[in-house]
Amino acid sequence: MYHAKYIIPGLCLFLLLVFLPSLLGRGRTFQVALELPKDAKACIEDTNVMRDRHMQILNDWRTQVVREGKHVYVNAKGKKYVMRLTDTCLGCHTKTGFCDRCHAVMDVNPTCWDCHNSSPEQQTAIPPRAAP
Amino acid sequence: MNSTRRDFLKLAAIAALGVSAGRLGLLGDGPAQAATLPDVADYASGIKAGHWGMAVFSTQFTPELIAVCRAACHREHNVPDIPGDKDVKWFWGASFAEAFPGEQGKYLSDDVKNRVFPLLCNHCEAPMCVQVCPTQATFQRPDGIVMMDYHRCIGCRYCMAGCPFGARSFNFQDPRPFIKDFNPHYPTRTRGVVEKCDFCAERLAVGKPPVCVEASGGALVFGDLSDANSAVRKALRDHFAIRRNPAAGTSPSVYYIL
Repeated sequence: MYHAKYIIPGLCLFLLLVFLPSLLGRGRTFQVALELPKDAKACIEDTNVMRDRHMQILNDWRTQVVREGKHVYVNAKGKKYVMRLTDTCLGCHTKTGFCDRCHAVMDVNPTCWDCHNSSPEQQTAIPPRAAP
Repeated sequence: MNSTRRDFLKLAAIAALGVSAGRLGLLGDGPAQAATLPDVADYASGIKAGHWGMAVFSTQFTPELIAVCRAACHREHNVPDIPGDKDVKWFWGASFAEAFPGEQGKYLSDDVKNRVFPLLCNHCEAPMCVQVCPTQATFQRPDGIVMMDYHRCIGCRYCMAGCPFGARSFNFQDPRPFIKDFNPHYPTRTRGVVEKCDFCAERLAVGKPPVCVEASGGALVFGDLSDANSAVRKALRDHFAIRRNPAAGTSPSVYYIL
């Protein structure tokens, strides 16, 4: 190989730079303080299912309600829920105390909130902003 | 009893006011939202139909009643109130010339010339907007309702070009600052999507009629056009009705009894 004495070290430096974030972040955990709902013991599914799949579940709800006209969800244990984001999910959870906590840390910005309201008790169209 | 003519007239005026209190909006805008969350059991009483349609008794509509129905609809669905030509409307009133331009009414009777007609999406049997939507964000349900999926709408406004009735509105800006009476149980829309009346599909799913029908006090008759015994078919059997712009070929489901 021509110019091998430049290319090989250059490649090694490049790979080091590419993997630097992973190397520096080894063993780090995320600190997320979630405010759990006070009056409900269980979510529509188990916590690990919700943590892994709540995005897919919400997308599925969206398709079923809007496009297929179905409104009732039956969970893995057979319990029924109405498929509504604001009224069902946010009837127990608060957006600023629960949803935003993980989303802020993971830098996730779901567009749901452009249209869907943050609480069934919300008073005005513009949702109240959380304290910074 | 010794009553003067003046007393009698006062009594008659108060009685007339009491009888028309609902129409004039003196009783407020009615119990439009029950403010309770729908339960799973409510969805068991959802009403289904072969093809939803509506008959409008246009003689019963005054500008005040149209305003009452419009306010009920716009409040239930968080429709913004934007001044000027960027207005968003699901239910509105218009003159005969605007509602039925094909009729080209010359020498109209006085009462039709001065009448205001309530207009809304006609939920056509062969909807033009559905044919032209590139993402199928607007689609026709099996029960005839032309539904909006705001998640899929890309804001191209092709549906607005296709609609022969001007029933669709575009959100030129974020509508939330313009929503005066807010209903937290129904989403708002966002900038860049087209919206229109959806025949209160979410209320039909829990067995309730559309809010405009409820607020109209019988002037709007809603029901299943494919069921010969429904209230709307009975109204159409008993009264002559026309539809807006039949030449467009979309076959509207909203019939106007003149």
